[in-house]
This record gives sequence, structure tokens and C-alpha cells, in this order.
Amino acid sequence: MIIILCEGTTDAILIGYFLTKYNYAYSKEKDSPVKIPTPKRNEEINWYKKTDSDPWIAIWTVGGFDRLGNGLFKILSRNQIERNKSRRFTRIILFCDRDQRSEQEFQDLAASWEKPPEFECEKMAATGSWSKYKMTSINRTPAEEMSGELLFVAIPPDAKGNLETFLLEALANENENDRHIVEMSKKYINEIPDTPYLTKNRFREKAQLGVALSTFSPDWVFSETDKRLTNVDWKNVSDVNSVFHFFDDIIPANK
Amino acid sequence: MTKKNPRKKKQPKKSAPTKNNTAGDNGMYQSISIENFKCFKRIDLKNLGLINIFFGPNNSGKTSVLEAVFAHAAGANIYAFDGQVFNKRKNNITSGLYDYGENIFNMFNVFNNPVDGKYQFKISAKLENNTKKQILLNTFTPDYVLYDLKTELSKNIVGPAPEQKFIPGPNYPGQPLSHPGIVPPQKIGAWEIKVNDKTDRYDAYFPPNYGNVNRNPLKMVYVTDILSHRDTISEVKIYGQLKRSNLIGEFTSELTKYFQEIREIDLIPRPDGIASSVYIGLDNEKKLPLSSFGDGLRRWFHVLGNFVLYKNAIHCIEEIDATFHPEVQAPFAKRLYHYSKEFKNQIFATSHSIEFVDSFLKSLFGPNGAITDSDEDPIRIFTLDRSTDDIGIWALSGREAYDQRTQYNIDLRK
Repeated sequence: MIIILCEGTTDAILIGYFLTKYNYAYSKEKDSPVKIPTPKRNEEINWYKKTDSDPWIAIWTVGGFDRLGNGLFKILSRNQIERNKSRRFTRIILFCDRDQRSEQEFQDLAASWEKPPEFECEKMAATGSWSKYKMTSINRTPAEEMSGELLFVAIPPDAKGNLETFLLEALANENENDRHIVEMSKKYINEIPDTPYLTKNRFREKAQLGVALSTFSPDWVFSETDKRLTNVDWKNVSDVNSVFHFFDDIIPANK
Repeated sequence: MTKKNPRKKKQPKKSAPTKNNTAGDNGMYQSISIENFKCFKRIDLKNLGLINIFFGPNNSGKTSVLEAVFAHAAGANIYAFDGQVFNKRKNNITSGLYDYGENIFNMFNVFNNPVDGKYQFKISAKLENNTKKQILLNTFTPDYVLYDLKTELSKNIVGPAPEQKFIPGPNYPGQPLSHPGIVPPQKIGAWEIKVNDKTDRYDAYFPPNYGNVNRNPLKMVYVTDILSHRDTISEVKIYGQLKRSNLIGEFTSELTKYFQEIREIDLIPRPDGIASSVYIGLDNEKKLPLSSFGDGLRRWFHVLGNFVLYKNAIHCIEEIDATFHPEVQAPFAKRLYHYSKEFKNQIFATSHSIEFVDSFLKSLFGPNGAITDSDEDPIRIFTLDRSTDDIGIWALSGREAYDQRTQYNIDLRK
């Protein structure tokens, strides 16, 4: 099984959008093969399934970068007690905003996360490339060796920023018309004072994306953000598509 | 190697026991190590609890664990070992000498080649009230007559054709071992049973006859298989013990909660005045023999009744969930726990039912469960796992198992 841990709802929507492009379909949680405890209010797990022979893919919105480490620990801990190999998460993807972090900062943060005993992973937080991990089961005698792969996907892949700024930039790069709309959206939002609505820079970036998306698809303006977001043909937005090429690794044939 | 005269009749050797062991109160099993026994090269079960439930796929060795526990508890009590361990799986019915011989060989790990023509398994255990481990070493030395069953034994032997090796006689398919009938005894080997520093030697015959053996077991042990509850004689024994223990009222009232048509349990002599049967009195004043009821009710009566009948004992229960409706599983589990504790019975049970274990764990560790956080956890859940080259054991305490089920939906069956 595969799990993608992401920070927030926008990430989950976008990842879910790409999964549907790979012919995966949303599945109700009660049908999911395993349970992962998600006690926090802003946490959510969505399950996707293609055919019986394809692995289940779970998207876990952990509720912020600070909770990614805890999510990873829970998944690895779950793997350690899972008797059935087919019910272990052997591929784990951590999807997060790069923000202002350098590669070294990612490494340092990941190194500080709690990990199961005897867990080994070289270059655990190296963004953009798979790293193999090893660990051993618990509660089993003799202990069973377990292995899997980890992928850190930081957005944007090669610049500082976050998902919203990355998507805006990707849309702007498509053509001149789109760039104009993106620039106008940014300008409009930037002219609005901080209070009462845009008290954080993060809100401002989200609002810029929201204005641009509403302009691209005015018919959907009264829809919820997820519908507006998935109304964009992201698979044909080359910058965005290139970030999600890791799906080619985990879903070999796009049937 | 000296060849024995296959036609020479030899009477079963009457082994004079050197000295009786005393079963005493050895307490519960705390750990057990099984070597070269059946599918196990070696397996260690540590930190055993009051109730030990074994999961695992078919052929993973669950029943073999129960048999090993039985073999150890039986100690030098060779009749119990013979009847309950290596012939039980065929209901103590054999189709002949080779069939019986094969049952013996099957006791030993298939990868364990004999040393000097001897097959050996070892079971050592730590019991609560013993400072030292109690070590059982069982060795079987087959006679020439069984060599054809084992290529590793027969490869260097030049001898008469198999049918000339033992006393010719009629074929006795389906011959119950407990009623040897007219089959002439044939020596097939020798047993050496060593319990700690005491060794007993028995000539092994077909049909089995070890003479007048009077050796106490290390620990009283009782086996319940999935059909044991159909034994009407044990129904009467259980009734008698319940009555003597003043528990028939409590027992009936528990049964009434889940089998609501029941009003009383009674023992009624038959018209000849000699034998009696257990009857169930119903709400409509009718009385029906317990044997006419469904398996669920009968198994409840049998399993829990045996806890009263055989106190301070080991109870090996095959497929503990068998025959119980989901609604009955939780109360049965609760009663199982209380009776184990009250009558100092330790349980080794197999199961395939995750529903049963969920009900069982919830009734003990869930909301209003019988075991509180401050209580010692008396439950162990073991899963035998043959997915790797070795046989692995997943071992959990009851609370760990409950948490893994409720939080992670871990399938404890593997």
C-alpha cells in the first residue's frame, strides 16, 4: 500500500485530482483495508482504489508541516506491527511546502523526528528522490526485517514558496493571458489591507490563487474551493505535471 | 546392527516405574520451549498468561503447540501421551502397524534426522511454583519393523520384504487403539521418557500396551476439541461437579441469560435406574436431554463445566470460538476469564475467528470491561507466522491486542 502525507486540504485536493487522472477512484473509509488513528480535528484520511490488483493509496492530511513527522512515525509504527505484508505501507510520500527551508533544513528537521527503534534511512529528507528505509518488526520473535521507500516532495521543487504560489506561477507560465490574470489577481489582493481578512501572508497567497481560479472558471465561482481547484486541467499545466511525475513510479501503467 | 527375529513373540514389557512423580501444585506455565516437535525446529513461548490464544493460518502449528503443552504436562504418563498426542488426530483409530508407526514418527520434526537411529524431541517449561525448568525429553528408537517408513533408517538395511517383518495377521482397518482385540502385539521400538533427572523406558508395541504404568503428570491437563462437547458421559461428570461445588444455580442463571428458553439443568435417571442423563428444563415445563440441544449450548456447558470439574489444570481448547453465535461470544469470553481465575485454570486455545477475539478483548478491556487498567493483564495473543524461513511468533498482551485491533485494525490472524 502507498500513503501520501500532506500538510493541508489544498494539497490533498490536488493529489486526489492527479490520482483520478491515473484512474484511481475515491473510496469510502469504511472500505479501506486498514485503520490509521487520526485523532486531531484537522486531520483526514482519504482512500483511493483502482483495481483489486493495484495498491490502495491513502492521502493523509496531517494538518501542517509540524505534524508530518508524527504522521510518518505512526505509519512506520503501524507497519512494524502489521503481520500481513500486503497491508503495510511500503511507499510513503511526504508532500509539503518548501517555504523558506533549505535542503539542509529539511534534513535537520527530519533527523529530529521520532522514529521507530532500529529505523535506518539514508538521505531521508532528500527532496525529489526515493530513499530506501529499513527497520524491524516489533512483537515478533524472531524480528522480521521490513523495508520500503520514502519520497520527500517539497513544493515548489526548485524555489522557495508553497503550493499556492507554485500553482499561481505554474498557471502564469502557461501563456501570456494566464500570466496577466495571475499578475492582476496578485495585485488586487496585495492592495487589500491586512485586516480584517488577510491577517497572514499565507491567507493572502491563498486568496490570490482563489481570485485567479475564479477568473479562469467564472461558472464555478460559487463552488467550493476543491471544485474550483479541480476544474483546472492541471495535468496539462506542465510545471504542475512535472511535480507529480512520482505517480509514474507508484502507478506504473496509466491504464 | 543386530537384526531382531521378527517372528519371535514378545509380551509387552511391564515397566516398573522407578518412582512416582507428584503432580503437586506446579502452578501455571510461564514459558515453554519446544524443540524438534512436529513442525517446530524450535519455538519459544515466553511470558505466558492465564489465557493464551493462538492464531495463525492453517498448518502453522497452532494445534501442535497445544499438543506440546499436553505432552509436557503429561510428563512420563505415557498412556496419556499416546492417546492424546500422537493418535488423537486420527481419533485413536489406526489402519495398522505402519499407520501407527507413522503417527509416532510424525511427532518429531521432519527436518530432524535421527541420531544413532533415535528420534527425539524436547519440551522444557518454567512453571510458576518451580524454581527450575521442567524438562521433558522424549526419545523413540524404532525397531527394524518400522524402517521402511523412513528412508533415512532403511538405506543401509538389507532385510526381508516388509510384509515378512512383522507377524502376519488379518488387516484391521479402523481398529480402535483402545480396544486392541485379537491383534497379536508386535514390538515396534522403544520409548525413553526423561522428566528432569528421572528416566522411564517402555517397549513400544502395536497395538500399544505399556504395561501397568502409574506415573503422575507434571500438571493436570484437559483437551477440548471441537467435538468434545458431544460426549454425554462428561456431561454427567460435569453436572455432578457443578452440583458438588454448589455452582449449578450460578451456572444455570448464566446460561439463562443467553439461552433464554432454559429454566433449569437437571440429572434424570433413565427408567432402568442405572444411568442418568443431563436434561434441560424449559420454560414450557418440558425437559429435553442436553444432547438434543445445539452445539453452542452444549459447548458452553462442556467448556465452562470442565473448568469446574478440572480445577488447577491446564485446558487446551481447540477452536475456542467454534459453535458460538456472535451474541454469545462476549459473555462466554467473560465467563471463561472469571472461571479461569476462580478455579486457577490456565488456557491454551486456538482460534481462527477475529470476531471472537474482538468480542473477547472488548469484554475484558473495552468500556466496562472485566479487567481494569490497574489489573495485571492475564491475556496473551500469539500469532504463528510462517511467512519467513523460520516460524515466527507475534506475541501481544491482551491490552496490546485490544489497542492494535481498535486503533489500527491489525488482523491478528496473520
